[in-house]
Amino acid sequence: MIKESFFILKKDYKSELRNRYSFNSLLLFVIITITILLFSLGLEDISLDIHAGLFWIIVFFAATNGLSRTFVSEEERGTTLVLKLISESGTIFLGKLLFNLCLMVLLSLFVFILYLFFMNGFLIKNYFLFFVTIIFGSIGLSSASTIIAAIISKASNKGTLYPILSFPILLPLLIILIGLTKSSMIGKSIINELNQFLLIISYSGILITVSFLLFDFIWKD
Amino acid sequence: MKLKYFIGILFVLVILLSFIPKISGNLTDVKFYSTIDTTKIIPVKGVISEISNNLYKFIDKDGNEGRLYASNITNKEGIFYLKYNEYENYFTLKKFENNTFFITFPFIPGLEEKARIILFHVPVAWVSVLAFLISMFYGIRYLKSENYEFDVKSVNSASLGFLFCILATVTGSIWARFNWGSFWNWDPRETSIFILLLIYAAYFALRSAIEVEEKKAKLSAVYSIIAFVTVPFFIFILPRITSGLHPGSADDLSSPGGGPVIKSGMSFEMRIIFFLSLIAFTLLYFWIFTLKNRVTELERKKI
Amino acid sequence: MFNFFEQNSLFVVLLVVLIIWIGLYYEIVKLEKRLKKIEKKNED
Repeated sequence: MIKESFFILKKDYKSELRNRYSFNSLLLFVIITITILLFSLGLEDISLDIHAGLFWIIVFFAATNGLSRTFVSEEERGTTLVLKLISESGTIFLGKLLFNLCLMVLLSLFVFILYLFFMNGFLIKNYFLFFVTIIFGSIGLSSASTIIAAIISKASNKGTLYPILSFPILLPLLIILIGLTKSSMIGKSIINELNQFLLIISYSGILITVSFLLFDFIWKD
Repeated sequence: MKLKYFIGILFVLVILLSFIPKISGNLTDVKFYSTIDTTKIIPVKGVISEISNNLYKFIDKDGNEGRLYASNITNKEGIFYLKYNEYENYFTLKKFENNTFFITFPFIPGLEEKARIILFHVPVAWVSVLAFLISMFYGIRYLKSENYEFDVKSVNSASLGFLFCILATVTGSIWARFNWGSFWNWDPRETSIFILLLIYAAYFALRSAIEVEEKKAKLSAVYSIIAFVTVPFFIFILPRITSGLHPGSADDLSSPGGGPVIKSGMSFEMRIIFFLSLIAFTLLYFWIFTLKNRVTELERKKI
Repeated sequence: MFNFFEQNSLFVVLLVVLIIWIGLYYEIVKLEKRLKKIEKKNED
C-alpha cells in the first residue's frame, strides 16, 4: 500500500509541474500577504509574539489555498472515478496526505525565507528548533487538512467552507506551534520543549488514524 | 413516577441547595488572610463559650480553637464574621448571622458568594461535551448502518450541545466579569470553549452547504467524529499546561494537576450538591433530546 | 449597575441561573411551536 501511495504522490507532483496553477497561486498569495503586512506595519517594530503569530497565520491561510486543491481539483477535472477504480481508498488517502505534507513543508520554508528577508525584527536564535517545528507543524497541519479537504470536495460551497471547517480543528496545533516558534526565536533549547512535540505527535497521530478510518466513507458514495 | 417530574423536583432541590447554605471558612483561613489582606472579614461557622468578660473560646466547624473578643453576643452558635488580631492573638467579631442549615460552603478567596456559580456553570459545560460525544456516537452508528434516524439523533444532539455550549460561554463570561474584571480574557479555557463553538458552528455550516440528504448525513457524521476527536485536546490538555486565569491551569499552585473539582477546592457536601447538579442537567439534556427526536421524526413523516 | 452586582455577589449567581433557565426554556418553547405546526397539519 505504501508503494502505491508514493505512486499517487508522484502523480500529483507531476500534474502540479505540468500545470503550475496551485504552486503559482500559493507563491503569489504569500507575496501579497507579506506585502500587505509590510505596508500596514511601516517601520514599526513588533514584538516576537506577534511575529510568531503572523508567521503561522500566513502559513495557515496560504495552506487554505493550496491544500484543499488536492481533492477539489480531482472533482473539477472529473478524474475522481478513475482514481476510485485504480486503487483502494487507504492508498489514495496516504498519497494525498504525503503530497499535502510536502506542500506544507515547502510552503513554510518559502514563507520563512520571504519573512526573513522582508520583516525586520524577525530573528531566530535556535534554528534547529525552528526547522523541527516547521516539520512537525507541517505534519500536523496536513493531517487535519487532508481529511477536511476530502469532506468539502463533496460539498457545494468549497471555497469559504474550508477555512471554517479547518481553523477550529487546527487551533490547538497552531497555539502550540506559535509557542514553539517564539521559543526558537528567544533561543530556548529543544530539550525544554519536548513535551510540546509529544503533543503535536499525539495530535497528528490521532487525526491521521481517525481520518484513515473515515476516509473510506467519504470516498465511496 | 414520570421522568419529567423527577427532573423538575431535582432541579428545585439543586437550586435550593445551592442558595441556602452559607459560606464559612475556618480559623486557619482567618489567620492566613489577615496576613495578606488586612481589610478582609471572613465568615466562620462555630460555637462559642464564655471564658471571661467579652472574651470567648471559639470552636469552628473543623474543630480549630481560638479566642474571640466581642462585646455584645446574642447567640452562642452561628456564622461569625471575624478578623484576626495578631498582637493579642484573638479574633474580633465584625458581624454575626444566624445559621440554621447544617451545610456550609467552603470559603474560597476571591470567590466567596460567587462560588455557588460552580454548581451551574461547570455542569452546563460538561453536559455540552457529553452532547457532542453522543452526536459522535450517533454519527458512528449512522456510518455503520445508513439509517437516517441516527443522523437525526446526531444533529439534534449537536444542536442541543451547541445551546449548552453557548450558555456555558455566556455564564462563564459573566462570572469572569465579576471575578477577574473583564468579560473576556482569552484565558486558555475560555478560548477553548469559544473554539468549541466555532467547531460546531462549522458543523452546521457544513450541513447547510450540502443538498443531497445522504451525502449530508455521511459527511456531517464524519465531521462530527473528527471534531470530537480534537475536543479532548481542548478541554483537558490545553488548559492545564498553558498558563491562564482559570483554576487548574499552569499558574495555579493551589490546585495543581487538576482543578477544584478533581482536587480539594470543594468540601465534601459541596461536591455532593455538584454531582446532584450534574445529574440534573444530564437528565434535562436527555429529556429535551428525546423530545427533539420525537418532533423531528414526526416532521419527517409528514413530509 | 455593576457596582450593585459587585457588592451583592449572590445576585451574580442568580443572574447565571436565570440565563441558563431562559436559554433552556426558549429551546423547549421552540420545540412546542414545531409540534403545534405538525398537529395543525395533521388535522388538515
